[in-house]
Amino acid sequence: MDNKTIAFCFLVAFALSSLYAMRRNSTGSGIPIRRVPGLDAIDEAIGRATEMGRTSLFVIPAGAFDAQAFAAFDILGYVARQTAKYDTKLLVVNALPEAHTIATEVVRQAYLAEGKEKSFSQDSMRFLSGGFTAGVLGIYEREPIGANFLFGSFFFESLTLAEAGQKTGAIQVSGTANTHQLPFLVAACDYTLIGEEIYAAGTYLSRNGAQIGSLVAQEVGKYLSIAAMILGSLYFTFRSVFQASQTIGGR
Amino acid sequence: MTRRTVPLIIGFLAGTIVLGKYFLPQNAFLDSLGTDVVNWRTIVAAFALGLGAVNLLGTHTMRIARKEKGWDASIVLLASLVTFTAIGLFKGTTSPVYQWGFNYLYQPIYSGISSLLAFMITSASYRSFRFKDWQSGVLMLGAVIVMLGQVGIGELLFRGLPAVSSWIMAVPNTAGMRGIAIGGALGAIALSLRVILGLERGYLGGGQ
Repeated sequence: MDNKTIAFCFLVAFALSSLYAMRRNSTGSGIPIRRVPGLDAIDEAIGRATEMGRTSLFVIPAGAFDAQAFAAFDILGYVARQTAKYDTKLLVVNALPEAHTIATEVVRQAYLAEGKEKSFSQDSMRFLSGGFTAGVLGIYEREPIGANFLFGSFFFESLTLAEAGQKTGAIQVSGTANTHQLPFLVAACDYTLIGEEIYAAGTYLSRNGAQIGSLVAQEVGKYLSIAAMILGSLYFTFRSVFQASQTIGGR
Repeated sequence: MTRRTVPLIIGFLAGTIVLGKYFLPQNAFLDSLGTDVVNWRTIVAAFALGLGAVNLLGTHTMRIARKEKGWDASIVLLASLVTFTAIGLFKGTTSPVYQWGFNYLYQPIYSGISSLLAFMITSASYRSFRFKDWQSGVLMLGAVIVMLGQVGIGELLFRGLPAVSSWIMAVPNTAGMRGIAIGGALGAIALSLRVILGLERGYLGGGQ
C-alpha cells in the first residue's frame, strides 16, 4: 500500500468514527471536556477590559488561511458576543484579505445575536496588509488594550506582537498549532492554547453535542496514532535486533 | 436560510472535489475541476484584497477627518497606497521606480521591524527563565544547557555540554514537538471535516 492509500484509509476511518460519535452525542449526552485554562481566561480578560474601560483586541495573524483561521473565527465569534454583551470596545485586526471579509461577518452576526447590531462598527474591523506587524504595534501604542487575543497561524511576528502586547499590561490569550512559534507565545502570553486545543476551542465554547462527538473521535484517533507509533517502533526495533542476531549467527 | 445554506453547499462541494482530486486515481475531469476550484479561491482572494484596500481607505480617511491620534501617519499611509497603486498600474511592478520604492522604503522598514525580535527574545527569555517554581527551574536549566552547548565557552566549561545540548534538542524537544504536531494535525482534520459537513459554522457567524 502506498502512502496515499494509507492516508485515504485513515481519513475514511476517521470520518466514519467522527460521524458515529457525532450521531451518538448529538444531544450532548454529558461527555465531560477537560478544562482548558486558556479558553476560561477569555471571559476573565474581557471582564477586566470592561472594568478598566479598555479595548479588547483580536489579532488574526499574517500566516496561512488554513484550518487555524477557521478555529480563530470560532473564538472570535465568542469574543465578539461577550464584548457585545458587556459593551466593551472590540478591535479586530488581520492581514489576510479573505479572513477580513469572514471576520467582519462573524463579528456582525455576534452583535446581531446579542441584539446589539447598532453597536457594531465597520471601523472596528481593521485590515492591515504588508505592514501588519507595524500596524499592530501602532494600535498597541494608540489604544488602551485591556485584553489581547492572538489566534491562528503565526510566523515570525508572534514574539514581536506577544511581547509588545505584554508591555501594554493587557491579559494575553493566544493559540497556534505552528510548533515553531509556540515557545514564543508561551513565553510572552498569560495563557496559550497549544496545538490541538485551538481546534477544539469552538466546541469547548459552544458545547455543541455533535461537535463534542467529533472531539471524541479526535481523541480516539490520537490514541490510535500513539498505539501505531509504539507498535511500529517495537516492530522495527525487534526486526533490526533479529536481523543483527542472524548476521552474527551466520558468521 | 439561503444565506446559510448556499455557503454550506459551496463549502461541501469544494472540500469534496479537492479531496477527491488528491485521493482518487488520475481522472481528467476531476483534475480539471479540482484545479478550477483552487483557481476560484485565488480569484475570490483577489477580490477580497480589493475589499481590504477599501477598508484601509475608509478607516484612515475617517481617522484623518476626526483628527484621531496619529492621523498624520494615516496621511502617509494613504499617500503611499495611492502612489504605489498608480505606479504599479501605469509603469508596472517591475519598473525601476516601483522597485526602488520596494527595495529602499518597504524592505528597510520591514527589516527594522523584524530586527526588534532580538530585543523581544531577550526580554521574553528573561521573564520566562526566572526561577519561580520547579517548572520554571526545569525550563531555565534546559535553556542554560542548550544555550551554553551552542557556544564555544560551553565546551570549555564542560566537555560533554554540546552532546547534552544536542540530546535535549533531538530527543525530549523533538518528541514534544512531534506530539503537538500529531495532535494538531488530527485537530485540523477533525475541524476540516466538521466544516465540510457543515457542522462547524463559526465562520458563518455561528448558529445551528
